[in-house]
Amino acid sequence: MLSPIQVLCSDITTLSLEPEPFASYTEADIISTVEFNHTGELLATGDKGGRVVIFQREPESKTEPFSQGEYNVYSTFQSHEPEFDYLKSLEIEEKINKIRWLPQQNAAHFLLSTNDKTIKLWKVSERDKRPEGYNLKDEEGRIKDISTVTSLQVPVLKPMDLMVEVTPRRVFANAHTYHINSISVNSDYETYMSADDLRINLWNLDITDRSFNIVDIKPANMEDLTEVITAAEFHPHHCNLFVYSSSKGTLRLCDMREAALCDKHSKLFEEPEDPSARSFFSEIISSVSDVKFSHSGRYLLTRDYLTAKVWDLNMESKPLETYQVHDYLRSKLCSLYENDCIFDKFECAWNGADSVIMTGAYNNFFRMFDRNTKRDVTLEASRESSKPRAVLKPRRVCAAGGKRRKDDISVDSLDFTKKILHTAWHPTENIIAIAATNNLYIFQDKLNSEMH
Amino acid sequence: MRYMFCKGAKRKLDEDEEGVEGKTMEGSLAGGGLDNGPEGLSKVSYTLQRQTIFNISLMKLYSQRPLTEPRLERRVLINNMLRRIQEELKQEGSLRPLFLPPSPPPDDPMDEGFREAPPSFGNFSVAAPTPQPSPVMMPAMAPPLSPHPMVPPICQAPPSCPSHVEASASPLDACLTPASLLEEDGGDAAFCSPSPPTPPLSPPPAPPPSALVGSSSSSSLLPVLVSSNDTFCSDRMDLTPPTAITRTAANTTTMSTSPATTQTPQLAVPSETPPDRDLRTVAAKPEAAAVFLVESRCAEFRQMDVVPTATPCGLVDAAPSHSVPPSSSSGFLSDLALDDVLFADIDTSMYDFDACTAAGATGATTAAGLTKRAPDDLLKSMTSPYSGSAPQVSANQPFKIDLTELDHIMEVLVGS
Repeated sequence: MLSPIQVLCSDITTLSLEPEPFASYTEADIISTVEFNHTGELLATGDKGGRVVIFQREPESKTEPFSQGEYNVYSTFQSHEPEFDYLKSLEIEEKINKIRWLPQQNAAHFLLSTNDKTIKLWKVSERDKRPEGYNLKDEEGRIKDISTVTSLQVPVLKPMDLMVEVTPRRVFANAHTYHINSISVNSDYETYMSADDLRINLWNLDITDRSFNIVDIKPANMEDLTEVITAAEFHPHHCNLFVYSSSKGTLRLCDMREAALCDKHSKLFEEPEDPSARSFFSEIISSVSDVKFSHSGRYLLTRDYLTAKVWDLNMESKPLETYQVHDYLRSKLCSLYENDCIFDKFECAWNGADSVIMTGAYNNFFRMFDRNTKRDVTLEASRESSKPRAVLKPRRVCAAGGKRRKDDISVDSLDFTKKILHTAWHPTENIIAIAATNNLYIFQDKLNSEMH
Repeated sequence: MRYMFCKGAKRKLDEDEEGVEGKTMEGSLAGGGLDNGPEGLSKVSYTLQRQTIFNISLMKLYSQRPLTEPRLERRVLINNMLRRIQEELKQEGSLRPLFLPPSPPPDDPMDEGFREAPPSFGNFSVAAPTPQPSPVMMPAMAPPLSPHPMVPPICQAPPSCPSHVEASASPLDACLTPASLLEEDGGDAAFCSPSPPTPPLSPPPAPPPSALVGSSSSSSLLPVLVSSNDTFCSDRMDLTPPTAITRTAANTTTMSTSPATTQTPQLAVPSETPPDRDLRTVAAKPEAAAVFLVESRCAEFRQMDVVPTATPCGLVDAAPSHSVPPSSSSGFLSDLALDDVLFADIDTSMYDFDACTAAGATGATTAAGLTKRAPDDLLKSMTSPYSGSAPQVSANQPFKIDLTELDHIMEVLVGS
């Protein structure tokens, strides 16, 4: 599983969201979310500028058997615009916080995108024919002068260049006082939830003017507020179950069959604090930045600042597995607190078989952990190392004081401005998408690609 | 005199920052010492580290990015950090190291202050640069500042460092310097220490407070207050937090008087529109010192000036002001209420101006009051009262009232 990852794209620059390699990018170009659809055929990214870019996997070409699977831009559209909250005199950023695809039910694709406040449902559809020969309208759609119409004709569909149309279908607004951090489509295909810092709402995909509050942890007195919701997700198979994580490092599994308002969890997953590892930053680094159900629905994967953990739904007392993502930062927490890096929200991902997990780190590094063999690898997403078809070399960070091998990177030389927060794993194949600042990298398992 | 006070105040702010660095350096020093072993050192380093983190946390809360709503998670975590440290200090029976008096703190007064702070740095901070760049001040300040005997290095610390700290947005590299120093060499060991050392801690930390509060005079309350006020006005947001704390420490015991608390609410309550300011002011005057603050906010510039003069003692005035805003601090986390926002905006504007003069006047009751002030001055003067608000202790009810008042002020400012 962890065999070397090969760069999938034949031309990495085409995948980059930025036209010119190494050109300076703006804040708006920074990718803020990455998500495969349920078949893996499409990959959507959102950025801080409110844009969504959809990539489509090219069908396998017969002349080049190994070239299957390159992702090329399929459609780009502006999902959210900056707004201004006049009551609060605050700007509402257009940054796309999350994208979630709906299961495909017809030729069109649907996805949800959200910024801090507003969720939108988009329809992505193709069109390769257009009607021609209307009686009352000309080619541009203008009404003809009736006097010029002398005969009747039957409009016909003419083939045209393939056009991808993206149209907004629903706008779910005004339901969140705080910042939306998660959206999750339910397995019933009819509802989804949106979570902000203090509340989780349940929506019907067809109804925009009403949502149901299913979790509310807002204290009566905000002075008593010590905990916020950091992420939430529906169970992949049981539409009544969902989980949400908190800034105190806990996971709560809720069953919507028990009550309409799920303030009381069914299960609470929490690892007792290790007194020997206690520090000022214990709470901050235990804050869960992401939670993901395994595809099987049996496990939960969480990410906190320094570790990734796998939980068994049947064991609440402690995680099944704990993986150190970058433990060498433990001695740097004060600096990381000072420069705010400690608040970075790293996401995590399962592979299709739930046997490998992946998450990001600093210095454009990302980590993969094989749950069976317990092997782990650190890889780098960079233009230099990501020549087409190149095999990524494992990287290694040596902690201060440790033996340093050639090519090792010392902790002090890590670039904390280059962080990989968002990653996605193809639902069935070993293809991963890595968002590194303004660049999107797509890698593929080398063995996998050779098998084709 | 005023000027001197003001400068002193600024220095304090700068000092605070430097203090952080100094501590950092100390921490590293102490850490180094650890290896050789005396327990005392580790405890010291723990204390210093805690102090550093405390200061960083305060700065974080006070320096918000303008325009966009701050992330709640971050604020909550930082606030929890502050609470935790405060709790630790309480248990040690000495809040001194953090500039807080051990006895008085009722219910997280500090926290409230902190909360309050975040909103304060609103949109304006960016727009209007502080007239007196702190970096410049720093070098001058540095010598007197060094809180710890051990820490002479502070003085040598390049002015640039503090500036980095201030600009929270600045790249990691800049910020990393101080903290990293702390962490390397045994700083970590200090972290792990399960139970904070009780008695030994207080002595070492003690010196910094005094230095910070007012190197000039630790004996008399008055100077202290003045300085704190100045700090508020003059400094940028980052510095403010520490100041607030200082005040609390100084005032809490002595100052928190009933009149201030009770009266203030009444004044604040008025729902009148801006045009009515004069009336309010008049009414307020009789009330007493406590009123002063309120008045100053609502009143026109000239009036404000007069008011301070009238008040018998700078201290008295200051005290009431404190009591009021602190409660408002709760607004920090409070549900993004409108009040909060307004609150924030107001604060911001105040910070932008160099309010030293005004502040000094308020606190000192000196001739300052007599001078007529320009519109800017008004803002400044407003600042001072407001600043006073931050750290108060026992008054909870005034808080809401205070917010209303802020609304009112906002109305005046915006002219809506």
